[in-house]
This record gives sequence, C-alpha cells and structure tokens, in this order.
Amino acid sequence: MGKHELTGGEMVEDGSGLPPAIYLRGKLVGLRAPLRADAGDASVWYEGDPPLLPEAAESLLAAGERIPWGNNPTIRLMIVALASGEIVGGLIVHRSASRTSQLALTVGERVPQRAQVQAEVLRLAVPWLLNEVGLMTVTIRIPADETSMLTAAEGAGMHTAVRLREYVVRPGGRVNLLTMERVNEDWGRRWRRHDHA
Amino acid sequence: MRDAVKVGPRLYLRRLTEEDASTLAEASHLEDETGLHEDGRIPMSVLSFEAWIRGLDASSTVFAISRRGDGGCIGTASIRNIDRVNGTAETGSGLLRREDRGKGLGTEAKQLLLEFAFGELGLHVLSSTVFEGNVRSARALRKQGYRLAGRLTANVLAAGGVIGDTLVFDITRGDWEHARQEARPAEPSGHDGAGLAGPDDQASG
Ligand SMILES: CC(C)(COP(=O)(O)OP(=O)(O)OC[C@H]1O[C@@H](n2cnc3c(N)ncnc32)[C@H](O)[C@@H]1OP(=O)(O)O)[C@@H](O)C(=O)NCCC(=O)NCCS
Repeated sequence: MGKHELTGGEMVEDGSGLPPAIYLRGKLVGLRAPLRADAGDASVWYEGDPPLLPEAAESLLAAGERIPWGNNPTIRLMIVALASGEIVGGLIVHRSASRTSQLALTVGERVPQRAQVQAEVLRLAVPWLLNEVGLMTVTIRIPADETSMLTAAEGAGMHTAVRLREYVVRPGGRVNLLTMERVNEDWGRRWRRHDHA
Repeated sequence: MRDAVKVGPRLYLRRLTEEDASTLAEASHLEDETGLHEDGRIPMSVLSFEAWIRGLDASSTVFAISRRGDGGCIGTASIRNIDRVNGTAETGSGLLRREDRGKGLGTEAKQLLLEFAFGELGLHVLSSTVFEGNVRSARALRKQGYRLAGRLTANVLAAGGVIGDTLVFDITRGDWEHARQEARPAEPSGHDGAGLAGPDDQASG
C-alpha cells in the first residue's frame, strides 16, 4: 500500500475481474470476495497473528472459500481502495445459525486514512448484514485502546454490550476487551423475548 | 483418587479420558431438566464423546469431576480457548445428574478449576457465558466470584421460539486472590493444602 492519501473517485480496474460489490462501496473503499492472488497481500488482510506466508495464505483461502450458503457460515471479504484497486484490509463475518454474527476487521497499520477506512467499512457492512443478509445481531470485539475502531463501530450504530476486564495484554499493561453490538430491531418486533427475571 | 489434579473437601478433578465417554453419553439420555442448553437436550453417542475427548488439544483442559473415594465422573469442568499470549480463557462446568445440582458441588469443582487456571496455567482473567434463562448457573457464577461483564442481546434462540440474551461474566486473578484472602483470613501464608493434590495424586503430563 502506498503512503499517499486514498482519494475517492472512480474505481480503477485492477484486472482481477472482481470489482467491489456495487452495494458495498463507499467513498474510499469497497468490499469484494477474495481471489487466489490476494494471498500475496495477507499481511494486510489477515485477521490472525502475522506473519502469514503467501503459501499458507493461499491454503487458507482455498480451504475457507466455500459458497456461503448452507453449512458455510463464514464470509471473507477484501477491502479494496477504490482509487487504486489495492487491498488495504480484510473483513471476516462469522455467522452462527444464520442469526448472530461476529466480525473481525483488519486494516493495514500503514494504510493512509486508516480510521476513515475502518469507519467506512463498518458503515457499509453492518447495515448490509442486518437489513439484507438478515442477521439479528452483529458484534465485534475491540480492545479498549483501539479508539479509531471504537469510533468506527459507534459510527455504525454499535453499542458496548460486554466489557471483559483486563482481557488484552499490551506492552504497557492490560486493557479491557469490549464487545460492541448492533441488534436488528425488525427481529425484535417479530420474535418473543425471554421474560427477564 | 487416581490421577487427581486438584482435590477439595468432597470432590476432586482428574483428566477426562475416553473411558468417561459412556457416562457422558448416558447422561445426555437421562437429562430430566429442560432450559439449560440453548440447543435443547440431544441424545449423544459414546462415539461422539470419544472423538471429542480424543480431539482436545492444548487450547483446552477438560476435567472429570469425581467424588472423593469414587473414581466415577459426576460432571465436567473445562477451560477452553486458552490464549497464552493474553492469559485468558473461558470456563464451563456441568453436573450430569439433577440430584447433584444445587448442593454446592458445582461451586466446589469451580473453585478447584480456578485454582488450576490461575495457579498451574498462570492465566490472568477468565470469562464464562450463560443463557439468561439458566438462573441457577448465573447465580452459581456470581457466588464463585465472577462478575457480570455484560449481555449479548438476542444471542440465543431457545425452545418455543423464545429469544434470550447470553450473560457474559468474568473473573480476574485479582478477584480470585481477594476472595481467597477473604475466605481464609487466619490461614498462614505459603502452601495451601486444601485443594491441592498430594504428590502421589498428581496427574502425569
Ligand atoms: C451450573 C452448575 C454447574 C452449578 O453447580 P451447583 O452445584 O448446582 O451450584 P451451587 O449449588 O453451588 O449454586 C447454585 C445456586 O443457585 C441456586 N439455585 C438452585 N436452584 C435454583 C433454581 N432453580 N433457580 C434459581 N437459583 C437456584 C442455589 O440456591 C445456589 O445459590 P445459593 O448458594 O446462593 O443459594 C449445576 O447446577 C449444573 O450442572 N447445572 C446443569 C448444567 C448447566 O447448567 N451448566 C452450565 C451451562 S452454562
């Protein structure tokens, strides 16, 4: 990823044959399904602990990419800069029983306008998952010191649901781990809630 | 107390083995309480429990709960998703028979499990989740020193189309040490006899 600002504007054709989905495009970035060739950029999109070598990343994609219906609850997407076609991060959606979900959002440390990219991705993805994919809840776990990610989640209408104390270790000490969630209110109207004691 | 890892006044923890699979499978057929598990009761095979026990890796520690003087298995106590970098994990426990529940046995087993998690494993904080309808389990967790960390809204679709929240609890090493000091103010410092197996009882590996 270059060091220049991600500018908005027309999508650059990167020759991959997969444009960002027309319904998941913002001003700076868009989301598309992974390609085998994305393995080389794993350091930018992979949500686990780096490093992930390109060969391992290719195996991961080959093993994980299944039509996301039926038994495959996982949706992995690449975050692509609209102006350059470069991959700047990844989003993975783990669905459970087609009803609840947990996101992992990764944006490369050195991506320019990182906070804006985080915010834009969640503002695109959360309403899509609730209103179109039809999930009942979307959650994301964020260490309490990742302020830009927290702001991004709040910008997507998410609220703190769980605060696990001292759950993440940092060089300077421990920080809490927050679970932010947004609930699909349509589901709330359609389903009977447990009677709170 | 063959293979005891942690010993309490009435119970001890030992490694769960494939030999326990038939007890667990039978219990899944004899469960007479509803509303404990979000997926409802499901009769499970010995084969499935054997495969699960065989497949346990370093990210989990699962103990059988045994009565002192009896090597059987009256329940399980587990530490899952062990994250050695952050020093975190999730705990869970269950007693197999209704007549054993509500008598403090689950709490005794959990105290032994916490000693193992904070002691031997050196973990820093543990979490545990409960379906909000499982009032006894939530109450037991509070009694064991866990604090409510929040709730995941509408996380569980239970019987009858009822949607419920998942309650999330946590307990830090600090909470646990504090509770131990409160419980035993007069105890001299140093080796804590209660709850630790003697050398003859140590599990191998
Ligand atoms: C959860 C479990 C391990 C707890 O162990 P336990 O030995 O039953 O727990 P304890 O007896 O120490 O504590 C239970 C508490 O709930 C209370 N209780 C018992 N029955 C209750 C009920 N029906 N409703 C509400 N509270 C109840 C008890 O009075 C006790 O609280 P108190 O000591 O403050 O009075 C055990 O009940 C169990 O195995 N349940 C079935 C499986 C399960 O639910 N597992 C957990 C899934 S998250």
